[in-house]
Amino acid sequence: MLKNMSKGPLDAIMEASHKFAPLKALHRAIEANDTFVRTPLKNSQSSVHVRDGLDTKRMMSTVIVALIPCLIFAIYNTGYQKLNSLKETGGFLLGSIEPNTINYMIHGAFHVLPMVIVTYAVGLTIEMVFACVRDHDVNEGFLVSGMLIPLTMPPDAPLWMIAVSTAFGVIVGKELFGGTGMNFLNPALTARAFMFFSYPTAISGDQVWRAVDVSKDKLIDGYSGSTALLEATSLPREMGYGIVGHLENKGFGFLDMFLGLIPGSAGETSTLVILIGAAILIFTGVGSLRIMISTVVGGLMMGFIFNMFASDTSLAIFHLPAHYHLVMGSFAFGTVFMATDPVSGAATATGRIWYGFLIGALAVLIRCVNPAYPEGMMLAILFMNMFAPFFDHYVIKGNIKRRLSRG
Amino acid sequence: MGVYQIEKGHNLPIAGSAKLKLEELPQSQTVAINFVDFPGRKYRVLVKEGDVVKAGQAIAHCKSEKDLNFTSTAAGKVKAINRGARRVLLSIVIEVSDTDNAVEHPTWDAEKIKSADMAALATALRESGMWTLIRQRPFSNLAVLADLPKSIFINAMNSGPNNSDQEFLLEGRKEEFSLGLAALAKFTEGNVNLFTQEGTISPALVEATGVEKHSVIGPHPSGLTGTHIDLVDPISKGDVVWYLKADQVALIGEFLSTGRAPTHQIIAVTGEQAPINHYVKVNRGSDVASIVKVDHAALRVVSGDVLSGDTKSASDHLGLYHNQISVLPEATEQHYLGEDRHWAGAGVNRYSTFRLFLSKIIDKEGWNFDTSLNGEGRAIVLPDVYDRFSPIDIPFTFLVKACLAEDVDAMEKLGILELDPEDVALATFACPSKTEVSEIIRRGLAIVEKEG
Repeated sequence: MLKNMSKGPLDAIMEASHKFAPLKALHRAIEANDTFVRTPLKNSQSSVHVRDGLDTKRMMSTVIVALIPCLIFAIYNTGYQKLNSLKETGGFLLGSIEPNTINYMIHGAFHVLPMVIVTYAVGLTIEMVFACVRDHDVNEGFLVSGMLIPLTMPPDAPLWMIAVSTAFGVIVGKELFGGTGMNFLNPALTARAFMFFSYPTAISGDQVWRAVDVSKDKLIDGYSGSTALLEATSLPREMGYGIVGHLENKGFGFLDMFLGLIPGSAGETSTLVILIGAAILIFTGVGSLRIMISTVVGGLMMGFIFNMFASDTSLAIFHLPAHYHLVMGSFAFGTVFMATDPVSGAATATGRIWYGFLIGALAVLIRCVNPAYPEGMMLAILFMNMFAPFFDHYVIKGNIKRRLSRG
Repeated sequence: MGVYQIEKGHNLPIAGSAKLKLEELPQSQTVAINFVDFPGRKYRVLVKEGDVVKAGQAIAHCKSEKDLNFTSTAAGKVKAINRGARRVLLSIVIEVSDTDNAVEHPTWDAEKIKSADMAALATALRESGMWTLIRQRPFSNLAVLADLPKSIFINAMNSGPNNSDQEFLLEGRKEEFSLGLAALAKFTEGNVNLFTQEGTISPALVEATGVEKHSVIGPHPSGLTGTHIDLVDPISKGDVVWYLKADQVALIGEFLSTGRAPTHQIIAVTGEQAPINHYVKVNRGSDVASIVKVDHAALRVVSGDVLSGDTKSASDHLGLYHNQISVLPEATEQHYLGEDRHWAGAGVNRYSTFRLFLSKIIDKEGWNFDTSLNGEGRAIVLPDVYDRFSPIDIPFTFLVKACLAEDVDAMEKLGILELDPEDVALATFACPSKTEVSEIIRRGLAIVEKEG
C-alpha cells in the first residue's frame, strides 16, 4: 500500500525540510506536496473540537471533477473539428487517418493536453514560489484556475501564449492582491482577458479556432470560418428576420450549439456537457445555483428586450431568439464555472442575484450592440467581479439598517 | 409566548449521548474555582494555601465589586492558588475533605422572596457566591448588579452535540426551580423568558409561573441562548440581558431553600469512548480525574460540548457553567492517498455536512468524531457558508473580516454584541478553510468590550 511505501521517505523529506537551510526555504512547497499525498496531522486546538470533513482540497477537486466532462468533450471536439476540416478541404496530409472517435480523441488530446499541462506547470510553479517567499501555505485555488484557463483558450493557441497568459492571470489577477481568497478578479478570466487583448489574432472571439496548424498542414492554407456569434453579429440588417435560418445553414442550429460539435474555445462549445458540470456543482453545493439562475434570467431578459426592438432597420442580432444566447459562445461556460467563483463574485445572497443578473444582461448587451467584441461574457463577468463588493456593500448596509431600526 | 421555527443549522449526529441513569460519584479529590470563567476582572484572594475552608466560604472577591464573593464549592483545605502571566489569578484549588462544614445563610421561601426587596436578595446571592451563575450578554460575562437587564433568558433546551437533557436534570427539582425563577424575576422589569423543548412534560417547566414560555423547533443552534435572545428580544448597543441554564436556576433555588450553597451538580458524561456514559452527580468544580479516568494522549476530555467546551487535562477542573463532559478521540493517524478518509477518498467515514463524500448518503446515527481539523487553515473561499448555520440575521463572513481588522465600529454595526463564540461554533465546524470563527469572534468581543 501507498502508506507502507511512502511513509518513511515522506517523513524523512519533511524532517529535512525543517532542518536544512536550502530546503527550509522550500518547505512550504514540500509541505504542499506532502499534504497532497497524506492528510496533515492537525488537530483542533480551539473550543470547537470537531470539524467537518470538507477541506479546500476536496472542494477544489470537486470543481475539477465537474470540469472533466468539458475536458473530455474539448478533446473530442478539437479532434473532430480538426480532422473534419482537413477532410472538407480535401487535405489528407495525415495519410489514411479516418475521422472516427478514437482518432478524434488522439488528435484532440494532442492539442488540448499540452495546454493543460503548460497551464498547471506555470501556474503551480508561481503559486509555490509565492508561498515559499511569503511563507504561507500553498492554496488550492489554482487547481481550478489551471483547468479553466486551457478550456477557455482556442485549441490552436501557441503554448507560450498560454504560459504568459497564465502567469499574468495568477500574478496580477491573484497574487498581487494577497493570493487565493483575496483576489477580486477571477484569475482564469484575467488570463483569458490578457490573451484576448494582447494576442487578438490568436483569440478574437469571432474567428474560428480549429486546431489546424496552418504552416504545417499547408493543404488547408487559409482555411477559416466563423463562430456562431460572428455569423449572428455580422449578418446584414435586412436579413435579420431570417437569422435563425441563416445560422442553421451555417451549421449553427440551436441543437448544434447545444450539443457543441462546433468550432470554438476548447471547452466552451457544448452546453449539454457544461450542464453536467453544473449539476455536479449544484448537487454538491460548491457552485451557487442562485448566481447561475440569475445569470440565465439576466441573459434571457436582455435577449427579450432586444427582440422587442428588432425591426428591418435594427441590427440583425436583435432578432435572435433570447434562448439562443444561452447556448452561444461562452455564455454557458461562464455562467456555470466563472460567474460562480465564490471569491471574486458577490458573497451575500441578495448581492448574488444582482451580480448574476447583470452578468447575463451585460453579456447579451455587449454581444448585441458592440460589434467589436462579439463575445461579451468574459468582459461582463470581469466587470461584475469589480462590482461584486459594491453589491455586497449595499446588502450589508441594509442589514445594518435592519439592526438599527429594530430597537 | 411562542413557538418559533428555525431552518438554518445542523444537528451533529455524534455518538455516545448519556443514558438517562444517575450515579452518585464519591467525593472528588479536589475542586476548583476557575477564574478564567470570568474574564476581565481583578480579584482579591481571601485565603492562603493550607487554610481550612468550609463549603460556601468566600475564597476571593472581586476588586471592583467587593460584595461579590467567589466561594468554595466544597469543605476542605486550600491546596493551590494558581496564577498565570502577570500574576493573573487562574484558579484556586481546594483539597476536598469528608466533613460537612458549610457556611449557613438564612433561608428563603416564595413568600419571603415576594416581599423582599431586590437589594437584600442580591446581597444573599452575592455573599454566597451563587451570583456567579448569572451571566449577561453582550460579552457573556458575569452579571453586573448595576446593569439591570431588559429581560432574562432561562434555557431548558438542549440541541447541541450530546447536550445534557435539562428535563432530566430538573427531575424532582420543581420547588427549587420555581424558587430560583421567582428570585431572578426580581431583577428585571421585563420578561423572564423560559425556553423549553416543544411539548415538554417536565413538571418543573410546565408548571413554572411568572415566566414567558417559548420553544424553538429546528436543528441546532435552536437550543442556544444566543438564538433565543435573537428571536425574542435581540440585543442592541446599550442593552443587557441576563441568562442562565435551567439547572443553574435550580441550583440558585436550592441555595435559597436550604441556606447552603450547593456543593454538587448533575452532569452528563458523553462520548462513545468515555469510561462511563450516563449522568453523574459530582462536586461542582470537580477535578476531571475524579469523573473520568482516561489516557489524555489518546482521548480528549472536554468540559462542555464538543462545539464550545474547553479541553481539560486530568488535573484540570470542570467549568462552572458546564453540565457536561465530552470525551472524544484525538486524531493520531494520517490518511494516505487511496484511503477512505484521505481528502480524495470516497469518504464513507469522513463526516461532512456537504454533499461531497459518500458519508452524506449513509444514514448513520452516531458518528464517532475525532479532533482532526480534516484539513488545514486556508483563506476563506466560500463566503456564504457561515450564514447557512445560524438563524441570526448577521452577515457572518463580513463580521469575521471586521473582527480580523479590529474595526470596533463595524463589529458593533454587524451585530457582534448579539453573539457568543458558541453561536458561531457550527460555522467554525463547517468552514472548509478551517477558519477559527469562534476564536475570531471571541477576540472581537474582547476588543469591543475593552474599547466600545
